[in-house]
Amino acid sequence: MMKSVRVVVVGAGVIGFSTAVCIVEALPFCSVTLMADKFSPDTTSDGAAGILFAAQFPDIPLQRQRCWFKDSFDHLLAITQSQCAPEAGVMLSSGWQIFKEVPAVKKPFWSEFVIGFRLMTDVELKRFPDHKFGQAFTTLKCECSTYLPWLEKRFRKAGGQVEQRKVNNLQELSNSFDIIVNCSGLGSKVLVGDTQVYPVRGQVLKVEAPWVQHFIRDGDGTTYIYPGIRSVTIGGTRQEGDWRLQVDDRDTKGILERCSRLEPSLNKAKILSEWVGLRPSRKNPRVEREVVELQGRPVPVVHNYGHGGWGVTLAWGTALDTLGLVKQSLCEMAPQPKL
Amino acid sequence: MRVAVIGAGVIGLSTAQSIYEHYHSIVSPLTIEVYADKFTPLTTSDGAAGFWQPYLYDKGNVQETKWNKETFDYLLSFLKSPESIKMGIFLESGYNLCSEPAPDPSFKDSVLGFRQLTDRELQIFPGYKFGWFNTALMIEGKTYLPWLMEWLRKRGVKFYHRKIKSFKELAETGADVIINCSGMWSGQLQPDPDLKPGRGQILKVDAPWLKHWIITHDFTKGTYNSPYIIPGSRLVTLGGVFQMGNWSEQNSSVDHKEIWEKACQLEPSLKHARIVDDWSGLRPVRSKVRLEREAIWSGETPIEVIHNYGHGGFGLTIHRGCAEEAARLFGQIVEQKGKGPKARL
Repeated sequence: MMKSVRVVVVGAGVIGFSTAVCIVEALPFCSVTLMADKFSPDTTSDGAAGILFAAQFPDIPLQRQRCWFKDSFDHLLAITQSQCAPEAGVMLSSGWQIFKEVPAVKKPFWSEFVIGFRLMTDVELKRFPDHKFGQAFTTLKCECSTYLPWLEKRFRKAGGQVEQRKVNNLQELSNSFDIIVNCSGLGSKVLVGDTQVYPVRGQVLKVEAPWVQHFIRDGDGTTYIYPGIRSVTIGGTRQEGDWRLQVDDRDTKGILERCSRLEPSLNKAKILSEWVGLRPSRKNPRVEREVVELQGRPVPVVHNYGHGGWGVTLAWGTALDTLGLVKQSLCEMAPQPKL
Repeated sequence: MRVAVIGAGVIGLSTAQSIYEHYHSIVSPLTIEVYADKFTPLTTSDGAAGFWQPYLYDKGNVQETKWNKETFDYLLSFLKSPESIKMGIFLESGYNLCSEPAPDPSFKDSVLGFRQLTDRELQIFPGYKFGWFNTALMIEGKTYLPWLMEWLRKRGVKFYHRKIKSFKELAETGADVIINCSGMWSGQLQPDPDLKPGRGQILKVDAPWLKHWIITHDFTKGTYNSPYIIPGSRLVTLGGVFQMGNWSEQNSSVDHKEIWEKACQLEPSLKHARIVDDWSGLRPVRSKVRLEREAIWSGETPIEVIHNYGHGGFGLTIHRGCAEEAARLFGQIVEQKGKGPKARL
């Protein structure tokens, strides 16, 4: 009789919970435990605006990146069309990405996966006198402070166990688990000694501006306005290697200036809160499996971390990819000896 | 000159504004008074969702299309200033859905980014085979009207809470020109068989995750008799009732149920939204807007009246274009009475 395979997912951000849900729902013969030091509302995911956009990573085959984006988009789109949408914190969002100079790539690889992608008309660009070019489309926004609790409900309903515990090294886990899934984001720097992981500091403000119905993003990725369910997130900053988690007043000032320039009505908006997050950045996200010798045993470890500022955007797609890698690991695990 | 405006909805207030803007430095003194039995937030303009969109087709009424566009451009120009928030103006995009292919609407060149819906978008709305996406404006009556009143008040316009029973009544108090912006109730001042109520009912719900308007069109049922969902700055308006000839301003539970069920079918995420309010109003429907001068004889001197009523379900949409036209007609009267600049030579 096959013993239930014990899987642990480390990390309770959007990557951790998305991966845990994918695994527990697809593999009923596995017992899945999600373990993390921090849970919503204290994860990096919680502060993120959660708008679906992608960047292109240099070393991952384009087809795989397209799958990551498409799978994530389709999953969240289906939620917006259902009654669960408000409970899950997911909504459709239309708007504009504008550029001060015409970019080399006018139609990025993800343009076919968002909805209604087109180039902005001259009349539309008139509102942004500093900008020469723009793209208009409809994408999704997924608010993790609502989405993560919703995922957790789904996870527990499918039999998943949740444990609050800081994991210091993989050895600690090898006694109790057969497969380790590492979704520890920036924590992977220490947890698995990945020197390629580095923080990119981002500061955002949440303002009360319920009349703002469209997102506006400067193509340089540093200035953006993302209307959410109960507030508008405006930002931001991209400070590489910066580990500071405190709010910086100079950044606050810069954000307000740049965003008000794009959307003058923000001058009248009340500031509700400020937040700083460290994007768990890496040249490419690490979604791969390996076998690690832990306490004398070979243990399959599947990694799913390093999504930088694209965690929400790629969560479901990379979770599905990770599920595939977990399945491969299961196939390779030695069967129980039968006497 | 004394100008008496009857009606304090969007038509009355904006007409007073246009007349002031164009003539306060030309006619001296220029006294403008607004008479109404209802002021914001109790007017028809207040209850409307506040969405700028004319009916799909103008049926040859190019004048109205021009006034609609003029209004859009005028409102759009305020967006570069934070003042737009005090006026209740903001951009909002959305979907016009039809059950079959249809010709492009009259407003396609007025709005921003007008295009047909992609197949993917139509998949989001099962049952609809065709439609358009564009960015339009919201102009919320409950914010715009107080802004207009403040604008007028600052410039010395006086408001009187009084139901006017006849044009004669105002003429006798010394008004030189009467502007009739009494909307649905113009028939009480002067019978107009062409003016009929197009009763509407709406629900207001709390569903802040919705950021797009969705207007469905059923050509067999006529304008606004098909579900629509229009997110505002605080609440979402659900509607889709247009009952010609129905004078009832009471909320109907039958209409409420129908509006709610159809809206949930169109947008399943509404299922758990909290319903906050119900409202019914009468669209002042007419075959075309009555915007013209009329000299009404009562005794020896004619009473100069400018009619500006019958804007159906597109009062907010067309208000500025009509106000400017009304001001132009007022200018004709000023010339005739010799009160213009030439009179000062």
